[in-house]
Amino acid sequence: MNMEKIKNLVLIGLVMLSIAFSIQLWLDVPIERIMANPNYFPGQDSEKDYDLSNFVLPRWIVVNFGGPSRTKLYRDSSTYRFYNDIYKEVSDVLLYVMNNNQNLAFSQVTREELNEAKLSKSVEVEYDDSFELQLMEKVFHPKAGQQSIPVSSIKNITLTVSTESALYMEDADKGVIHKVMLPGTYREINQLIDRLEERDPVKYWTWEEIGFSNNEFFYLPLEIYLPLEMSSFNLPVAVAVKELETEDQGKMGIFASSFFKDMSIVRKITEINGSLIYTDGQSALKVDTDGFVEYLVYSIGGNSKEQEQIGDVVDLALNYIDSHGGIPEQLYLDKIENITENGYKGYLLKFNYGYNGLPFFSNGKLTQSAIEVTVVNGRVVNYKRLVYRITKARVEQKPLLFPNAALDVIARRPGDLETDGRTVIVDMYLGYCIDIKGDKEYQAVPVWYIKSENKEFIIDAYQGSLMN
Amino acid sequence: MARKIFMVLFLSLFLIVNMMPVVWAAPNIVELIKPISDIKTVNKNIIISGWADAETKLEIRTFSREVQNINGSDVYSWEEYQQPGQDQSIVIGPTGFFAKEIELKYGANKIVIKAVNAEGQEQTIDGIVTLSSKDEVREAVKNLLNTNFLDIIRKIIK
Repeated sequence: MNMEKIKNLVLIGLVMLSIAFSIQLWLDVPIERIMANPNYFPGQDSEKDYDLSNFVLPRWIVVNFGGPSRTKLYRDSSTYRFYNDIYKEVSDVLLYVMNNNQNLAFSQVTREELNEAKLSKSVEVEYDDSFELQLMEKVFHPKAGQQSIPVSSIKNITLTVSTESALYMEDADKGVIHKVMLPGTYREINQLIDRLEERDPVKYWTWEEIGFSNNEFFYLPLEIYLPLEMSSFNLPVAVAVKELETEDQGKMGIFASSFFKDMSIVRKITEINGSLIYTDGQSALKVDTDGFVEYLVYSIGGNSKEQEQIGDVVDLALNYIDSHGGIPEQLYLDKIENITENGYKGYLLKFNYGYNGLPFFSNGKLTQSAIEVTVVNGRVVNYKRLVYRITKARVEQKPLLFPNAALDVIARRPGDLETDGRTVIVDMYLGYCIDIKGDKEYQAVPVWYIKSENKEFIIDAYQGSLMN
Repeated sequence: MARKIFMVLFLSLFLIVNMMPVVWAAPNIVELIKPISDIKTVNKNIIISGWADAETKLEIRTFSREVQNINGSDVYSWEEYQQPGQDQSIVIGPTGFFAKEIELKYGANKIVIKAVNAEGQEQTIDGIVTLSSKDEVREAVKNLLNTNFLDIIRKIIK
C-alpha cells in the first residue's frame, strides 16, 4: 500500500514537472527559434514591390493663397488630408507633363520670375534632395516610350493656378529653373486651396516680410518660410526607447540571424563596452549598447562596374530595410549620393523618419541619417541603422520658441558666428530630437534646426537651449 | 545797450524753450519696421516687428472697438482681447529684433506697445489698424469707380 502511494506521488510529481518545463519551453524560447521565419534569411528576402511614392515624398508643401499669405503643410495629423490631396493634384500635373512633354513648350526662367510667380495662388513642393529624373519617373510611372522631359533632376516644383497655370521645376544640380505653360484651369486644386484658406491655417512668412533682413548678425534667404504663431503647433514632448533590446541576448541573436545565411559559423564577440559583434569571416554586424547597428561586407566584387538604375536600387534598399529591422513609420528617402567602392560604382541612400510630420534628429548626430544603405553591384554592402520608437507623448502648455528667439540663442555664442560679415543661414525648420540621457527612456523634443554655411544647430523649441 | 542785452536774452530764452520738448519727449526705445497708425488692411493677420536694445521688455496689447447703444446713442469703447495662447510680453534678445503676429478683429483695432529698456526708461506707441473684409473693399472700389470726378471738380470750382 505504501509503495503504491509513493509511486502515485512520484507519478504526479513527474507530470507536474513536465507541465512546468513545457510552459518554460513555450513562453521563454521565442517562437522564431522554433519555427523559421523565411524573412529572416538573406537571399530569401521576400521581394515586395514598394510604392516609391510612399517614400519619395516632399519635405513639405507650401500653399500660397495670393500675396504674402501662405501656409506650410506637413505629413502630420492636423494637415495630413490636405497634404495628401494637394500633393496628389501636383503629382497628376507632373505626370501629365511627363506624358505630354512633346506637345508642351519648356523655357528657362530666372529665380526672380519664380519668386514673383510664388506670390500668386500657387503650390510649392520641396523634396529633401534633388532627385534624379530616372527616380521620379519610377515614382510617377509615365507612359513608356516617351521622350524624357528636359530636366536632369527635380528638387522643387511650383504650380501656379491663378490667372495662368504653369509648372516650374527647379533642377538644383544644374542651377536651372524650367517653366512649362499648362492648358486649362485646375478647378480641383483651386478649390482645395480655397478650403484650406477658409480653415485659417498657421501663416508662414519670409524674413523680408517680417522685417529681419537688415540685421547685423544673420543673412537669411527668401526661400525660408517661418511661422510666428507658435502657440498653434501643439507639438508634444514624447518618450522614446531604443528599437532593439540590446540586453536581450536571445532577441539580438534573432536579429543577427537576418544578416547571415548560416548562423552556425557566425562568431559572437562581446566588447568591453557591451557592444556585440557577429562575424562569419565575410561580413560583420555590430550592435552598440545605444542601439546603433552597422553591417559591413568585407569585400565587394562582381561582374559589372557600371552603375545600376536608381529606381531598382531604391527598391532593393527598401526591401533590405524591411527584412532587417523593419520599415519605421513615416520613413522617407532623404538623400542619394553616388559613391565608388573598390572601383565599383554604387549609391549611398540615406533615409530618415518623422514624427508628427517633422524630421527626426537622433542624438544630435547630424551627419548621420537614421538609416543608411550602401548598394554596390545589386548588393547591400553597408547598412547603418539607429531608430527609436515613440512610446508615449504629453502636450506642453506653452508656445514654441519664436524663430527669431531661436536665432538669439546662436547670437549669444559669438564663437559660432562669422567674424567677417553676417552669418549666412542656409536652412531653418522645425524637427524633433531625441535627447539620450538616461538608461532606457529618452525624451523626444520639438527643436529648431538651423544650418549655417559652416555649422548646424539644434535648439530645444520649448526650453530655448542648445542641444548639440 | 540795454535793448541789445534784452534782445539777446529774449532770443536765448526762445531757443531754450523750443528745445525743451525735444528733451522732455519720450526716449526712442523701439523702432518699428512698419508704423501701426492709420493702417487699413484686408489681411486678418499682421506682423508687428522692429528693433530695440537687448533686454528691453515689450508688452503688446490689442483692443477692438465695441459699440453699445445707450439711451439711443452709440457709445464706443475699446475692449481688450488676447491673442489665443500667446504671452503678451517679449524680452528682446541679442539680435535686438522682435516680431509678433497679431490676429485682428473686423473693424477698428487699437494696438498698444509698451517698451521698458534695461535702464528703466519707458516708451508707449499706439496706433489704429482697421480690418475690412474683401467684400467691403470691393464695394468701396466699385463706388469710387462709379463716381464722376468731373462733377466733383465742377462743384468745387463753383
